[in-house]
Parts: sequence; C-alpha cells; structure tokens
Amino acid sequence: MALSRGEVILVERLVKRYADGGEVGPISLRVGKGDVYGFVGPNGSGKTTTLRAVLGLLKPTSGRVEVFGMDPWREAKRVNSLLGYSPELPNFPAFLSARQVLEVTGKLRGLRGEDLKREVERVLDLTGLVNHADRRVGNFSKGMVQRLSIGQALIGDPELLVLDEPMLGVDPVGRVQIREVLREVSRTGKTVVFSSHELYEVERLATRVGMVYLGKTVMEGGIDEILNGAGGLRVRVVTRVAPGDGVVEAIRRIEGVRDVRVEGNSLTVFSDNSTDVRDAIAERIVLSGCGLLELRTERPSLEEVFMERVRTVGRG
Amino acid sequence: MGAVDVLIGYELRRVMAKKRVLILTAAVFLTEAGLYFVLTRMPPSLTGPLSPYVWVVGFLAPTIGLVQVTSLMIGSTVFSDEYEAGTADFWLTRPISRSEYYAGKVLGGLALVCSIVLSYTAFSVGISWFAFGSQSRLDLLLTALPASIAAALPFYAIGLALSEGLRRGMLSTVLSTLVFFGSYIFESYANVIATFTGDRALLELTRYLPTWGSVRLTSEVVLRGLSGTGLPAGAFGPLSGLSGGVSVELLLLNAAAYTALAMVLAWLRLRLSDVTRRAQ
Repeated sequence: MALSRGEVILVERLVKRYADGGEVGPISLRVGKGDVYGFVGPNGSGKTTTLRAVLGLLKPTSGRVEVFGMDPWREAKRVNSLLGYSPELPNFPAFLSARQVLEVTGKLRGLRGEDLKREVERVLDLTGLVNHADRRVGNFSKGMVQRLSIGQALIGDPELLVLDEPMLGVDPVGRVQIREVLREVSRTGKTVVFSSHELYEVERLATRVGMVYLGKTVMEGGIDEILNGAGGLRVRVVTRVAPGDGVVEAIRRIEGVRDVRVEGNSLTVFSDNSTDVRDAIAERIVLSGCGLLELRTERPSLEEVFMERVRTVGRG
Repeated sequence: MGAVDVLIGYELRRVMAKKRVLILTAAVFLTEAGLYFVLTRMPPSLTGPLSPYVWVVGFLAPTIGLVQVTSLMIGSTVFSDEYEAGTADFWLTRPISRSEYYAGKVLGGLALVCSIVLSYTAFSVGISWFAFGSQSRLDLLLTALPASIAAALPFYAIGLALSEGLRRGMLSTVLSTLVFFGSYIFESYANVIATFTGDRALLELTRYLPTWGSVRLTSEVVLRGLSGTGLPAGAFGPLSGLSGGVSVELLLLNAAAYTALAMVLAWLRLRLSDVTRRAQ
C-alpha cells in the first residue's frame, strides 16, 4: 500500500531484528499532514526503533517505511532535509556552544548570512536559551540539552518534526514551553510525531495516537476516536448516601454494564459503547432511595485505555 | 559552504580537542628539538659535511614511527568518537548523505595529518637553517612531502577502518597500535633472521606487511634524491639503514593497497550498517 495524498509517514508491518536476537514488530503507523501524532508505549516497546527507521538510521529487516513518499534508508539526505529530529537522549559535540550547534544545523539546511543569524536568534528565543547561547553544550544541564535538542530540530522550519521523548528530563516550566512550541508548530500546519511513555502528555498534545506494546502496534487512531471508543462508556454517579449492595448488584445486572466500582457516595459504572445505560442506572438509584445528586459520563484517560488494551493483549 | 566543508571544519576542531593527539603532536616536535640539540653538541668535524643537509634528520626522524602512530591515533577516533558520544545521530539526521559524512570526516582528519607533517617539516628546516646555516636540496621536499603524507596514510586508514568497524575509540586505538607495532616488530625480526639464514622467502614476506611501505617510503625518496651529493653512506645514522634500494613504486603500492583496502572497508561498514546508538 503506497503513501496516499496528505500522508507524511507510512510504516507498514515494520520488523527489525537485531544482532543480539532482539526483535521489534510488526509495527504499522500512518501520519497525515498536520497531525500531531503521539507514539506511545512502555520502554523497550519499539518506539525508538520505529522512529530511527523513519529517519533512515536503521534498515528494516522487513516491512516498509516511507516518508514524504521516499525510502528514508535510501534517500536519507532528502528525507532529512524535510524534517527536524530530536532524539531520546540528545547528545551534541561538547566543545560547541548552543549557538554553534544551531548554526551548523542551519548551514546544513542551506541557511546563510543574515537568514541564518535571524533563524538562530528566533530558535534561541523560542527555547529560552538566549542567555546560554554562547556556553559550551558540555556544561549544559539535562533540561537545557533537551531544549537545545528541540531548538535544533526547529531550525529552518521543517515540514515534519520527529521528537523522541521530548519531555524527558525537562522541568515543569520547560515542559510548558515545549508544549507551547509544539502547539505553535502544529497551528502552522506542520506535522509533529513524538514518542512518549508519559500518556498524559500525549493526551494533552496529540491529535492522533499510535500504541505499541511488546514490539507490536496494538491500537492506532484519532485521539477522540480512541478515548471515546476503545475504553467503552464510563458513567460517574454521586448519591446522597452510600449505595447498598443491593442497588450495586442491580446496576451490575443492567445489560451492557461490565463493571461497577464503589467509593463512598460515588459509583463508577463501566459499560459497552453499544448500550446507553444512563437511564437504567438513574432509575435503579432513584428507586433505591440513595438520592441521586449527580450523573455524568466520563471518557477514560489515555492511560486507562492503554492499560485496558495491554490487559487484552496480555490475555491473548 | 557545502556539507563536506562544514564537516571538515568540525572534524579539525574535534580532533584538536583530543588530549592524546595533542600529546603525540607535541612529542613529534620535542623529538625534533631533542635531535637538533644533540646535533649542535656534536663536534663540527662530525657534522660538518652534513650541515647543508641536516634538515633531512628532522624531516625523516618522525617518519619511522611517530607520524604513523599519530596518524592512527587520529584515524581511530574519527568515527568511533561520534558513536561513543552519541553524536553520530546528530550528524546523520542532518540533510547530508553518508558519502558526504564519510568524506568530510576522513578529509578533516587527513587535513590534520597533513598540517602536522607540514608543521614539523617547516620546524626542522627552520631550526636547521638557524643552527647550521643555509640548507641545500630543499627542492627534494616537492616529492618528499607528498611521500611523507602517503607514508602516514596506511595507518590513518587502518585506524579509520577499525574506528568504524568496532565503533569503540579505545579498542580501535589499541588494535591499530598493535597492528603497527606487531608489523614493525615482525618485520625487524624477520629481517634479522633472514640476514642470518639467507631465507629469501621470509624477506619477501615482509614486503606484504603494512609497515614495509609506510616506514621506508619517505627515507627512500629523500636518500635517493641525495645520492649524487657525495655524502658518505650512513651519513644519517639509523635513518640511512631504511633505504634498502627498493623500488619506490613498490613501496607506494604497498602503502596505497593498505590505504585503499582500509578506506573501502570503513566506507562499506558505514554505508551498509545501522547507525548504532550511544552505548548506555
């Protein structure tokens, strides 16, 4: 299957076998133009391997990888001229200053003279490194290196940003700044792919999500589609007095209800998507005399969806 | 400014920031200074006929080992340092091809080797002129300098190949140093044994060693050039012994073969294999 119009990245059944016997895959993902694509999964699940194949740093054992319609292994230079990359553990030549790292990247992206100077200043400002621009990178803290890493990926305003764990080691202020930068980039119609195992960050930023677990893709889709669909419906009920065992059992017997959890005056009812159980729950509560104070549907967090998916995969 | 130029500039800065390369370069200059100090203390009756050609001593002395070791030290970190520092990812995710990366890194290291050779040559000519008066046959440098750089190339390239092959700086430095000294020692022993036993096959075997061309090439070119000057045989002490009347073409062939083989191996490894991440 070839890259369709509007798609920036296509990874199809990518498998990578390493010399030490480790294997990742099959992993598939599709990233469309303008997507903020969150690539999630626990450590060692294959996120970095996939991104490195997208960057042309490693050759897939099997499967297919296309970026802007090109094979990154064969056409790494052309692919890399269209994207900016920030690695999981960024390392820069320690004897260069932040400004020199940005200048080198800018030069390799074809920027010269005043254009290069302006672009370097813009990125230094954007990443909050103006006051550290002429310090050697070897003396930078982990958070500053991460900011510089995001900055060098932004040099030259590339069409696609690939960020591997961009929030790793960044303090809360830095996280807010990076989040703002990514939102700004996506507002201009650029495509962003970022990996993370911090699911709340992905939930806040991503428009599309791909989940990998044990080296395989277990779910992919729009963030709303995943959160509204995959985890089922969740109804939160607050009552005047704590509900007794009888009413909990009655709710459990409602068709479509999968589970009921009780915490004091609050009940959380998990049901299938196919059945709207809200009327039935309200009826049972009112009839029980517990006093219905509040009933609202909630969508599960990405973390809950992921854990549910992991349990499903684990069961077989 | 192209990608290769950017990388050459970067590589020069990177290698010059390495202490062991600086120490070895300093050792080259100290050896030169020491040699000339000893020569100035010798009675003029001994150094007299040699005076107009004394630049040759300073020019040849590093070519029988120091230049090769310095070159392999430079070569053996060219690629491995980037893998170990995790900066290979940085370079290979810029808009540059692997060919440009290879060319920039190799030429950057080579530029440093050339500048070291040029510097100590200028130093030896300068100090000879200062201490022993005007120097003759400096025209020989037109062929001797390229020969000297060519002599440094095999071990620079062996260092490069091990650097890319092993992707570990210390390991590639140790192994390429072992190749140099192993070859040197084997050649010396083989020569001694062949002299006593008259074993031509053993002598022939030494011609295939990487030090055979590298160590002899410069002295062969220089001492051949000086053959019509009336200097007595062995005028340059142990340096004269290296000139065994072998064909310069064969010496060049030996050096070129090792250089080409090692360069090709390094290129193939870089072109065909994954970019490994920094060792954690």
